[in-house]
Amino acid sequence: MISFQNISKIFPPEVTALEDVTLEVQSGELLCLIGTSGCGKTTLLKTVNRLIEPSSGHILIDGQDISRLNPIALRRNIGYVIQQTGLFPHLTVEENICYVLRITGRKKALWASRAEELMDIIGMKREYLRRFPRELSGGQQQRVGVAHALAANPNIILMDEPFGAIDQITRIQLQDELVKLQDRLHKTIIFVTHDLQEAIKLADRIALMNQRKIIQIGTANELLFFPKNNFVENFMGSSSFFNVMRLLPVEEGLVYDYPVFRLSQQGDLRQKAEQKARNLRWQEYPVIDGEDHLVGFFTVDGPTKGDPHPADVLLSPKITFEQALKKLFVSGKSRLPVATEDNKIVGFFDFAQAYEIIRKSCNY
Amino acid sequence: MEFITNVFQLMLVDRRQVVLSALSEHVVISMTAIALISAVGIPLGILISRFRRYAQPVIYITGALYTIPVLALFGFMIPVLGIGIRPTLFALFIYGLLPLVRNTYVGITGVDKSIVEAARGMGSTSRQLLLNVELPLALPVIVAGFRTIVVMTISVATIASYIGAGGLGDLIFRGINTYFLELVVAGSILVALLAIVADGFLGLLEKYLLKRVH
Repeated sequence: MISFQNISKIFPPEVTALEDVTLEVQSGELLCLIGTSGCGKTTLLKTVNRLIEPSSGHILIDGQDISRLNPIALRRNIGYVIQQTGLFPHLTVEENICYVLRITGRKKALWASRAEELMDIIGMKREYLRRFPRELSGGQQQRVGVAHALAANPNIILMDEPFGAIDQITRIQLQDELVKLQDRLHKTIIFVTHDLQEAIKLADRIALMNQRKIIQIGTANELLFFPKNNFVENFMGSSSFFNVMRLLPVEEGLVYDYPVFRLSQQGDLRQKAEQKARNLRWQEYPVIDGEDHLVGFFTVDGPTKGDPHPADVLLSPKITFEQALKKLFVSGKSRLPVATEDNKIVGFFDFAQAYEIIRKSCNY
Repeated sequence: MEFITNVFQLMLVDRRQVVLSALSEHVVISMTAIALISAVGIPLGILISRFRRYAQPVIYITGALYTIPVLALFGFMIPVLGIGIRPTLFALFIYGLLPLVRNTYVGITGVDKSIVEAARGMGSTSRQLLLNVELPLALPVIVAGFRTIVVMTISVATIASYIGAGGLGDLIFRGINTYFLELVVAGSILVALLAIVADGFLGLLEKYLLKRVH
């Protein structure tokens, strides 16, 4: 865990870059520092590997005050990726990746195997090891930059707008790769960006900064739907229809008082079901067993044949409104049951309800 | 045409021994001076890149020395160091210092800031930063400075014959004094050739290094 305690930074003579920043980054978390240019996000990042020393306050890594550590040793245990890739033009990809191993005096025999391992991790062919950075595309260079940072297997990685100078298509690809990598490696990552979509996509939590201070910390949803003030609201573009659609999970907008037919009832089930359908004037409603598991659908024209609960009518509570609406439209129905992986119904996704929730979230 | 044949006849046959010894003297003087300049200039350039507040004064002083006309400099040397090889080396040394100090300094400080910061951020000590990153990347600029001083030293060493340094300048001045034009031209051709060959070779080296770095 990285814990920033009341960090301030004043560059002489009197330019304040950080003002009383307190923040905790959990182990294994990817935290995005986001904010406009000059808000202090890069400065804050650089205090972690002591490229910048705070004027006051303490930074603890796993409880240890880093100002008492040797900065060289500290940096060797922290991966560092920067926008301009930070690759050394006079060294091959392999020599670049192994730079940390070299300066820490690791045996040369180990380099090659570690470099190959890292190329596999970042999904690049091993033949690139002999090339020079200038012979790679921007995206490939940045991948090598990531490998560079992973070489000594640090627990903490600092990334300073690593994908900022890369074209849109490659950037999205690199972001996807980072997500996958992080799912596997669970590093503690602080990721500086000014791109909101990037932060939303990558971050476990987002720390939004403005004018040298942290304004709000939380998940993307918390910042979007519960902005602390106008600045957060404007920055996150909370009223943006697309953000709501892409981020709001279905479980935020379920209806629970939806008619179902319980198989656990006594008597002539078919007659009761038809009676119910007539009373409700609904053509179709879900049938569940005694433990809330979806069994199938009852329709007036007759019970559904074949698979009683095809996956394409079931929604998982974690999917977004966008995905849920898509399924709803494809199914041709106005409501779909939402169920966990073991088919247990947790509620219903209803078009009318979704409409209201989207309207409200967008402040229309 | 006959004149040119005479020049080469003189250079390669008649005065072969004299020409060869003048040439080797010239090479020895120049190389000694270049070695001295490098031994001081490169470390000095590195040093002021570490302690930046001394950079301006050091470059200013070496720059001031550089502007002294050659002959005036020799004039100043004679009362202090007498004549011969010692004042010559000293003058060449003072003269060649600026390009090398300045290029070393500019080369190191001109290395892309983001690369330096990446190297520091990964935990390089300042020694590792210098040896693994800054010097290799500054090398083309340093070699360009070296190239300047090599050519300059070879040509200035010719004039040093005035204060008894020997070398190819001897041939030229002796030729002028005795109105022996062939000898003047022979000496001049050799000085020019020496400078051109050295410059060409270093130019190739510089080109190769530049290609590696960019």
